[in-house]
Amino acid sequence: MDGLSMLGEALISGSTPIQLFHVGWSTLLGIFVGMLPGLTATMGVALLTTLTFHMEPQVAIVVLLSMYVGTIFGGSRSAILLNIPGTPASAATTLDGFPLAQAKQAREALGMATVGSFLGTLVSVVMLAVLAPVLADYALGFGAFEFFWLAVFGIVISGRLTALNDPIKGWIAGILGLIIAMIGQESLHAYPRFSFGSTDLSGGINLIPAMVGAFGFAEILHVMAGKHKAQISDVSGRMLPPMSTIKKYWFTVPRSGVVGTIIGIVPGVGEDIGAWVSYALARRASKEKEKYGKGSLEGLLAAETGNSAAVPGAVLPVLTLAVPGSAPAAVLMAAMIIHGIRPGPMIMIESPTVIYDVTVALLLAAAAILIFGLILTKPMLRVLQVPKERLHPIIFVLCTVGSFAIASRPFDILIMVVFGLGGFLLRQMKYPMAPIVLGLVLGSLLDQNMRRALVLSDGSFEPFFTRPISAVLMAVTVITVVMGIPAVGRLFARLKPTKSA
Amino acid sequence: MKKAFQNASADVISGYVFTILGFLVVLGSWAMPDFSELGASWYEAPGLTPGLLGAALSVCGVLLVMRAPTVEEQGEDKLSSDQDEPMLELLKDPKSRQRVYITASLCVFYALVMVGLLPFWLATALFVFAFIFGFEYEPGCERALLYRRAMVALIIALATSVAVTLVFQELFLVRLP
Amino acid sequence: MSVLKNTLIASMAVLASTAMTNAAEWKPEKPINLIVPWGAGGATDLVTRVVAGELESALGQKVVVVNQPGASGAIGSKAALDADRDGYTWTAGAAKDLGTYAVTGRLDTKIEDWHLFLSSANVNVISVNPDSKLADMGAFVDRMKDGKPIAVGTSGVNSAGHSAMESLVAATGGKYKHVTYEGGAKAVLSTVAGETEASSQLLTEQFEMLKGKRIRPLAALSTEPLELEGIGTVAPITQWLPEYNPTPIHFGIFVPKGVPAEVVATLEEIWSTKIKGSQALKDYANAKGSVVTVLSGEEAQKAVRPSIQVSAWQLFDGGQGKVSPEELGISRP
Repeated sequence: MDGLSMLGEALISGSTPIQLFHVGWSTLLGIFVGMLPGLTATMGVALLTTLTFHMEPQVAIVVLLSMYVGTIFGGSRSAILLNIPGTPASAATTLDGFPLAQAKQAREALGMATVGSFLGTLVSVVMLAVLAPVLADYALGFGAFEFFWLAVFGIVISGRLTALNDPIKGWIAGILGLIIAMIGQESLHAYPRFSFGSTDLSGGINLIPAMVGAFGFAEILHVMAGKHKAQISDVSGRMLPPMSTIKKYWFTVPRSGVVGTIIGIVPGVGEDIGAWVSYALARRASKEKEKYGKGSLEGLLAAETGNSAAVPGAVLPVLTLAVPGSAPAAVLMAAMIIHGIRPGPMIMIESPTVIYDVTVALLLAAAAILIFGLILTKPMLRVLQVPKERLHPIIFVLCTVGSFAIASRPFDILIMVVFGLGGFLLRQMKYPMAPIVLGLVLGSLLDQNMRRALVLSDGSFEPFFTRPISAVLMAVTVITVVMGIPAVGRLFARLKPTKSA
Repeated sequence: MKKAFQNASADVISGYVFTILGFLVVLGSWAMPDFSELGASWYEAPGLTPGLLGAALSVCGVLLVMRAPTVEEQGEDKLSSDQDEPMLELLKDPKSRQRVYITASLCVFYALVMVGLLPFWLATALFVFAFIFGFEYEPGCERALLYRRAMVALIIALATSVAVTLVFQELFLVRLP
Repeated sequence: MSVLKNTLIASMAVLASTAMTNAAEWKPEKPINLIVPWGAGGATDLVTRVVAGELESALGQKVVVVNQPGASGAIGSKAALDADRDGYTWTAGAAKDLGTYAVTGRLDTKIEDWHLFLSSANVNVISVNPDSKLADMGAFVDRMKDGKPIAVGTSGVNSAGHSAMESLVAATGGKYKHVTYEGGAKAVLSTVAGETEASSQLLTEQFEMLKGKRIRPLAALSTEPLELEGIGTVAPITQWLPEYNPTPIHFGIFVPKGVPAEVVATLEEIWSTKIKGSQALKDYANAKGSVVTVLSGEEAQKAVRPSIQVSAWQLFDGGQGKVSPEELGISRP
């Protein structure tokens, strides 16, 4: 328990008013960055890196971590209120958050998401402080074979969960996303796939404009097409979910927290997968499965706890292995190095206090999102009261700027528009959007690791099934597919129609 | 029953589209060089992953097409009872379709033509004004009301334009298009 | 010593020329976009952010680092090439990449089309997993020549690690198993985890793992031994392959030619004074095992030449090239 006592010391010395001030403004800025579609955690942290240049290293770390925590949390605001995930991490949040808002429970949903994010960060921070050295090396157990299965698993569960009645459409969407991710230069021979001679295409389809289009623009078209007037949401409601609700779902918090942290640690997969896996696990264990996707507070809690827990998780291998667990963590690592902190296996010997400084910064940021989340609920709900004719042109302007902002490429605006129009059509035919976005995230992971694994095994498939973590991931994937195949089931067993609602 | 049939037919059509798309992806992957002349093994070929994914898409497409009649048999209670609206509803209703067309054209024109041609703030202000006023304009309503709505649209347009320009350019240091 | 002398002469020449053009000193009026054509957190990104910070205080204006990765850096470089030549859009990276885009047909540009402002140089190190049976570089070379191919992790085709291995193949006539990763850090990690047996990435990318004894250095691709604090002495490759001609990889900031002359003059002045004496850059180099090599103008062009030659011909001979380096005026090294 030496870790915990050092943590306590760092907490006391880290909570000076000036530190608290820095936590405050950077978390708040992070929440706004996260809310705006197109502005991501990666961009927020990268932007602040330049601004923290002349700060003290400790202050810089606090500012950047608060930004990171704030953006991942902020994404849930637009996911719940507008059905547009502010960052890819909040895609799973839309599943239950938006239906809740439509059912006049926006206020409670915002509160639940805030509590989830806060508790998720808390669980993960404790794991970081106590288990950092042990957990980092666990990431090393993830090789090419495991990443391959992880990518397959991600698509399978997201396809299943976003189209509960019709998983085949979810899987089609996921495969479509994976195929779109194939566009552009591949890694082994630098061959530009499906690029037709265009330099823009050979760079691949960027995730952010695609996501902003598929969720943002498509949602705008959807809402504007609707005949009904904008629903004036009930602003009264409770701010915090009642204790009894939290008590009812209490086990979701440690489960999602631990799962989110572990997913966060694995390099290359971050908050988005953390949210999906924890959402899937929560649904599996839930007593109210039928509510999922239609406004389940438990599902919302799981998604938000999962993505926020992945943040400290992603920071953990930065500290102990100098390998970032996610894209924003990569920028964070760059910033640390610029500030003279050298993350890596030597950190426990060279500067052991850094881990506890990070822990304290994350704890303070968690407290900040709780406070801001609750204070800002009321003004944010006003968004729902703006008539759609006035709100949506502004959102579209933000979508356009957001797509462009990430890399200053006009081509990205075109991508946003194409994904918006295509996404709207697919949505009208009941294809979910989230697996497409996840497919874009996981496409290169799948491709690179499958071929890398085969290179390593000289073309043998055996290790895919025999390595322990691989075997577990494969088993879970296969079970998910088989369980979610009413389509195939019905096709082959028309004699005995089996139904699982 | 009829609605379920329409849903099913949308499934059949999209199923065929995905089957063909998957097949085209497989063909495209097959045509990619495999770099075997440089000593690369089959599993290093760039076309491997997209080829497999294309095949998977085709299989899913076929399953969707084959499943569709069952949906019809089972009626809509199982598959679409809990969904808020049936498939393609927004595109079938003429009024909605018109609104989709107007929204889409305005947005596409703004994002792909006006931005880049005009200064960003001007393009944005024009777009927001046109959007708001376009949708709030009702022919034959009072002049004073119309005038008021135009003013509101103008104010929102200018405010959006100024706020977005300032926030992104000055605070986030993004170079605007 | 002669390098130092040359540097001195050149910097004096630069000083003289800036003294003359001082009247037209460049004062940027708006933030400068510095495009890093690779992902955030990588070797290019890190050193560029350090230099950007120094430039900010020297210019009195924000230098905004924008990551625009894709197509081995060609997309970001193209953006800088296509931008207005007003001096407000720069790019950064390894000079050998910029010099070889024309060979692979990714981007029609030559190294001579750019003003180079180099900040640091990096060497490759061959390291193995601590449990590897390869005792030294001699054993490594022997196994390349005959034996089960060694799995070597790099960050992909035409990366610094891949070029290094290809040059070893050329020198020994042996072979290896090329395993590619998304970035140098992950390639090195694969060696730590034992998924690959060796890594040939830049010292910068291996430094922390070497210090933590998670990987074991066999040789540096240099002519002199490397003395590294906390790691010890790393033997030069020439101890086993005396004929081997190593080429260090130069990183820097690149400004397309055609920008106003005062932009170039001001940058050259900042380079020879502020950047050359930059403590932040020195600290960064010390912390990451790279060498501060501050060069600009003709000298920079000369310094990067060998690495471009080697890389261009390697790409072309390896079947990656669309245009012969000969046609582009890049002679065989």
